[in-house]
Order: sequence, then C-alpha cells, then structure tokens
Amino acid sequence: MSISYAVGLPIGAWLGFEFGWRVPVWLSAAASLAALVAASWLIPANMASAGTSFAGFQAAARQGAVLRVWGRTLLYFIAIFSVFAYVGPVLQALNPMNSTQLSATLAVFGLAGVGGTLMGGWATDRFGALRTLRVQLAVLVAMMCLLPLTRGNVPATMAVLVPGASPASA
Amino acid sequence: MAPQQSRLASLSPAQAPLLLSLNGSMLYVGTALGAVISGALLEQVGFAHLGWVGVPFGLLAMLTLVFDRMPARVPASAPLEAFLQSDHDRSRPARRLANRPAATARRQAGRGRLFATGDAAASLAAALPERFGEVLSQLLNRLESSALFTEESCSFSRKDLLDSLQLWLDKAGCSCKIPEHARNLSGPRLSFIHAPFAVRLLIALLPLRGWVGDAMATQMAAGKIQHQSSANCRRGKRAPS
Repeated sequence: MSISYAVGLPIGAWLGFEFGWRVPVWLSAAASLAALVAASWLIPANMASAGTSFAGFQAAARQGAVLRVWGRTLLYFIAIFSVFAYVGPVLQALNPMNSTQLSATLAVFGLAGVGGTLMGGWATDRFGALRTLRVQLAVLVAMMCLLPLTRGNVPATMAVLVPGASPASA
Repeated sequence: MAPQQSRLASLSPAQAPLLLSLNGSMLYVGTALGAVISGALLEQVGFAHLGWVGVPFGLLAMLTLVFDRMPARVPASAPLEAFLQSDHDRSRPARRLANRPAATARRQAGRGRLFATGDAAASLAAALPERFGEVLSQLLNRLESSALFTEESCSFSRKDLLDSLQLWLDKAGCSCKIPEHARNLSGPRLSFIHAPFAVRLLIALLPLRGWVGDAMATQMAAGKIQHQSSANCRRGKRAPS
C-alpha cells in the first residue's frame, strides 16, 4: 500500500497536471478492471482459508486497550489525511512548482513513507509497540506544526516533509 | 501501522483477524474524515496552513497512549519463557500418556494438522499440572497469530514458538518431535503456477492506480492559486513567491 503511494501518487499527479484529471481517473478504472480480470483468472476458486469466529469477540473488543488502538488509528489517520489528502495543493501553496518537480517531491514523499513503514516494523520488534507509537506521533505532530512555517523555502519544506512522511504511512 | 497491528494481535491473539480488520476500517474512516475536516476548514485556513488542522488530532492520539501502561521492556512471552525455563517436574500421568501425542505427531502433515496435534495434547491437559494447559493455549494462540504475518517477526517468530512448543512437549514428558516440514511452512500461499506472474502483473499495474483525488485537487488548486496571485497583483500587493 505504501509503495502504491510512492509510485502511483507522483505518476497520477503528473498525468493530472499534463492531461487533466480525467486521464488518471480513466487509467485507474482500467487498472482496476485489469486487476479484477487477473484476480478472477489466477486465484483458484477453492482457496482454503482458516476463517474466523465471533466467539469471544465481544469480550476482546470491550477491552479498553483495544478500543484505544482503534481510536488511535482513527485520530492518526484524520491527522495525516487532513494534510495528505491535499498534499499537491499544499505543496503548491508552500512553494509553487511545475508538474515534474511536484511529481518528484511526491515520489520522495512516498519513498519516505515506505522507509517509515519498514522502520516502524523494525522499531516495534526492537522497542515495543507503545514506544514506537509515541515517537511516531511526536514526529508527526512536530512536522505538522512546522510545515506551514517553511513557506517559500524548498529545502526547509523537504526537510520537514521527508521525516514527516515516515510515520505518515499505512 | 505496524505497532498498532502488533499491539492488537498481542492484546487478543485469538480475535486478531477481526480486530485487525476493524483497525483497517478505522484507517479508511480516518482517511475520509481527515479530508472532510480539512476540506471544511480550507476557506478559513488556506492550503499553506493546512498542516495545523491535523495537529489537535495528533495530540489526542498521543493522549490515548498515556492510558496504555508503559510496559517494562518485557516481551509478551516473558511469563511463558519463565515457565519453559523453570524446572517443572515431569508428572507421572504425562509419562503414561506420552506415547499418544507421539503417535499422533507421526501421522501429522501440514500446519493445520500441527494445530490438531496441539488440540490432542490439550486433551491431555487434565492429566498434567494446570500450568501446562495455560501455557499450551498461550503458545497455540501466539502460533495462530504468527500465521497472520507472512514474514518472521520478533514478537511472533514462528521458529521460536515452535521451539517453545517442542520444549513444552519435552517438559510434559512426551518423546515426540515437531516434524521438520512443519517448520518450513510459511503462511497461506497461493499455490498455483502463475503466482510469480500474478505478482509481476500486480506490481506493473500499481503505478496506474495513481491517486485520482490528488490529481484532481492539484489541478483545482493550481487554478485557484494562479487566480489568487493574479488578484493580489492587481491589488498592487506582491504575489507570494
């Protein structure tokens, strides 16, 4: 998923810039259709799966810790996507750039996300989930505070965005 | 997301698939709400200061961490390891029954059957001291969770878990061995010839997925910003550089 942001996002932005937003929309539709055909053709119909049961689900879901994880995911992604959903225009507002520059920035942004995902997994194994989350959220909040202040300064914007993108990944 | 997923899986290994799915739902709801909230505030805040919209939500997310007790850096499996390293007496009933799981194990093949071995052993739990049963169910839960991850992770290392299971069997006085092929099994696998082709195809299609919303928003904003800066120029102000 984070690789699709690293690759798809800049290409989509570039296509949208060059040919209008309808082109990437149509290409996405075509790609989805191709993926559907490929999936129905390639994945065996009788693929066995362990399945899952609701027995004991209520007790598990009522734990405060579980509810907090869900709430945290919700808040985390509200925070990220309040900026990330408009990352193109936000970058444009901070430092006006052409389509190639924008795509390159988004690619760097996406790669930082991939790096962040890998690093998050490593840190979770090494330091535990809660410590990792604490650092990730602190970095995210700090970068979001700083981002608007980098207006008109490309290196500063990049310096804030790249570490900021690391925790901002699925 | 890795720390969140790992936390869910360790909070309730048996229910991990459902809890993880709902975590995924939260992700998508958050994605949508984030865009809606900052979209609603766009007029007041402007694109340049949009970063600040998310800050209160990030801080709230940090606040939830306060309520999760900081674990002393002990992995979740620590009590288990303590048990496995302890010198429990081999109980006599276990010895008497030792041949049964051994015979079962010989007939086993495949991962699903490995769990069946575990279940068979669980039926012996009555004959074993109570602690054995607890540890076994904990082990099996963790083993089940480890099947969710395609790669080895330190929190749910399949190799370590199987080693622990072997230790459990040894302690219970069983002479059975976990079959070697059970160790080589990875997670659910699409067992068809075209697997590499499918992967390549999906990777090739990935870029095309694009990001539609972004392309649209970029273009809309580009129009808007140009419009604004030309308006600023008309008013005799310096356009933002």
